[in-house]
Amino acid sequence: MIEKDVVIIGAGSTGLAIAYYLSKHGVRDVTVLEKGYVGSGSTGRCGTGIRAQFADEPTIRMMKRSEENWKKLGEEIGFDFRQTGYLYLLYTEEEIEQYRKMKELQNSLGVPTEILSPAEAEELCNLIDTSEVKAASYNPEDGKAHPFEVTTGFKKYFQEGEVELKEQREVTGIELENGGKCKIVKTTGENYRTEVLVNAAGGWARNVGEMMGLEIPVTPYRHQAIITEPFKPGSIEPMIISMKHEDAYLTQTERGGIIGGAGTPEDEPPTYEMRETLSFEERASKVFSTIIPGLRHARILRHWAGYYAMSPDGNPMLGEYKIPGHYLAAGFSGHGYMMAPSVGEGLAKVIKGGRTDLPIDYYDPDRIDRGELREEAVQMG
Amino acid sequence: MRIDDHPIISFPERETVTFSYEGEEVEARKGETIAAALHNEGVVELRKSGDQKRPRGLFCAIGKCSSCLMTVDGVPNVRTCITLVREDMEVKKQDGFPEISPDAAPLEPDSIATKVADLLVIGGGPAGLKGAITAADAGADVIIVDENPFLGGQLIKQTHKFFGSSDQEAGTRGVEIGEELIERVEEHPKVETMKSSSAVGIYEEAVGIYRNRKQFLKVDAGKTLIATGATEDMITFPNNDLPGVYGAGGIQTLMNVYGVKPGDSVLMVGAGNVGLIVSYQLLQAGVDVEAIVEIAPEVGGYFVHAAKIRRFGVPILTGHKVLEVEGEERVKRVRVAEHDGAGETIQSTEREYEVDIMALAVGLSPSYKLLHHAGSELKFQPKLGGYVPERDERMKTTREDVYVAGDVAGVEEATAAMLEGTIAGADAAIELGIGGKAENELISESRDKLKELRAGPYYEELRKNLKEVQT
Repeated sequence: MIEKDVVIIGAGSTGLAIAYYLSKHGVRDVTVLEKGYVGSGSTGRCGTGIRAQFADEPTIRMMKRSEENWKKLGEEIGFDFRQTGYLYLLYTEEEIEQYRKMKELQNSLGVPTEILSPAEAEELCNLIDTSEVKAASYNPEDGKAHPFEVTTGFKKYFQEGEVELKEQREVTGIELENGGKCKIVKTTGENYRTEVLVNAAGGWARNVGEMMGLEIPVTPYRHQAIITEPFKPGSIEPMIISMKHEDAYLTQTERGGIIGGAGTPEDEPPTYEMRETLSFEERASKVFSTIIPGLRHARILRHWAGYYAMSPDGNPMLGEYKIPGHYLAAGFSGHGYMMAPSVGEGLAKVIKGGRTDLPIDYYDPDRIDRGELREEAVQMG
Repeated sequence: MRIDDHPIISFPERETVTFSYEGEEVEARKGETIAAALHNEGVVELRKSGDQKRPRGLFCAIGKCSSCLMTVDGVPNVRTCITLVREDMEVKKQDGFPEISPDAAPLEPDSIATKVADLLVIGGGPAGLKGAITAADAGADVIIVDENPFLGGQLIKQTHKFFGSSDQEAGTRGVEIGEELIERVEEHPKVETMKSSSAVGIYEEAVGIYRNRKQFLKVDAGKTLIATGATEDMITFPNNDLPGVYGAGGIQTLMNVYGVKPGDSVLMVGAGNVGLIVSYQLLQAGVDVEAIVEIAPEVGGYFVHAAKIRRFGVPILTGHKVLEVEGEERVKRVRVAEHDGAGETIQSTEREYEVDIMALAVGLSPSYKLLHHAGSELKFQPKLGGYVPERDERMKTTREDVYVAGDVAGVEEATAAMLEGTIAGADAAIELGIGGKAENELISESRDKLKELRAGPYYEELRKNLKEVQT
């Protein structure tokens, strides 16, 4: 039995960021357990986007900090946070009105979003078919980061420091002692005893909860993404969003591939299925080539699925939950990757018993039981 | 340069097609690919690579390696080795990663059509053709797709006579067997043929097909037979990506299918059967074969093939390795040396060959990606060429509706591929409730022949590897 100050379950972006910020705050006796490899869950399957263009104050505040932290992390850990902006294409007056209101709120919180004309949008990417576009919402501080660079960057950082990262260690059971104060975490390798346990298991957060007799209301929904053959890098810099075209998002990676996704049909039930579907390829190719006609003949090289781990109100569940010393960092509902750096910073402070200026309380997981559901954060893909 | 006088193949006069390459008019023969036509004009550098902008030319010539990508009629990354020339086509070289071109024509029709069949065969080589014929003869509706503009797979370039003492195909040239199978498939009322069509994925719902760079289709078939063949291997040495370094099979395609002479002098790497046979075919096409270099201590191919080559005065250097290829835009010189058995160069054994082509006959790997996508279980078996699917004795993989046959099931020869194709096609028909007694008989006959073909000490390791993947 190995004694640890903190055990974190899940080495996706969330678990890794929490471990990083704990170590920054002096809590270094930390183990991160991962059943696959770093980023093998939804992090490595995500669309790479990072944005602060949301509609509610807490999420905007979290994401503004997150973008600041992404930048610092990139410099320290050695990955590229490319601030190439998010460009929302707006097709109707209603949409423009809605995004103008969002812009005002975002501006008031220090996020420099602007409403652009179609011509200005074209300047950012001249491949977009702007014939029906009426305006665009653009925040130049939004951006993207390559999830494999990020997760392997953390891994390397931990190898040189004190945080222990254990891959290929699946948690097989959790026993509670001392009224839950003490948690015995059993894995396919070593067993651990800890007072502080963090559930950052993403789509599998519910399963981890069940090991402690808890019902955590986080449900996995399959979301698919594709990447095409590479084209000249720099052809599509911003993350381009069109809610009109099945909530599609797409951008170009540093290597040149066009990566992106589109919304899941509303009738698709929650699932642990990770297989991709041909109907998604049809939808994605249709909407991508409508937004950017030059992509009509682009070949899809890879196609995969990951989860949006949905909470009942589409907002994260952050903080101590039901058992003393048991913290939830789950239910990110599609925004876990982008939010990880501020979640890590905020939750590390909460775990240390300190104060944070981040609205972690807003995401108190007990709100669900109390029936205080939050307004759903703007989602796409 | 055209091969006008060939001892075995006669290349018929064909209509002339004129297309543009970098704005210049090029005359080609109708029915040849862009890459073959450009080779004939002496254009061997087809593009500059994406990242490092290194010169790249043709390598595999059958659509597997993506070395020959060019922009055709505004569509970037077209595999010119499997795309036929067309009047007024515009072909452009790519300098690094291509631009996203808004000029490319839309796909037609706008909506995606679905086709229904009993059996979908992916790959029109010996295994796929036999599978299609067998199932169609039993009464199944069959669709056969192939990425290449021709059916026949590698048979259509095999000008040598087949071996084997017991099989009916022994003594016949591959190209003749191919022609006969193609004719049967193309004239079969139960078979629909789709050439220049790529199967891009095998999903639960259907198989996606990208056809002729114009159309996207879905095929909803009761059973799917994957007969995608194999890909030529590459070995590592400096400048292995220079134009003029070809797969031996790629060279065969250029010479024997399109009648284009690949160059004047060649160094062959690999003294297995492929290396020996293609060396002989290069001699037949009027190319000087300077030497055959083999890393192993002895010749891997059949004695008769090696003897034939030696009679032409071609040295076979066993225990030698390639040090590097030299050249700026294409191969100019190859340096080789003897090694000590552990791969280390033995000093002062270096030799230099002034050649304009290097051919690699260093093995084949099964083209297993569609099987992987389908979810069929794969296992790594070195004697079968790499990752191959687990299968039962009727060539059914671990996914109920997916069959496999030919080199993708394990690299062997065309005779084995045809027998496996027959078995798979017959069992698919039986499982669909279409085939019966006759198909069961075909299966047991073919299984007996396979057993005979794989008998003897030469195939001991192969048999062991095959046993490993038998479910």
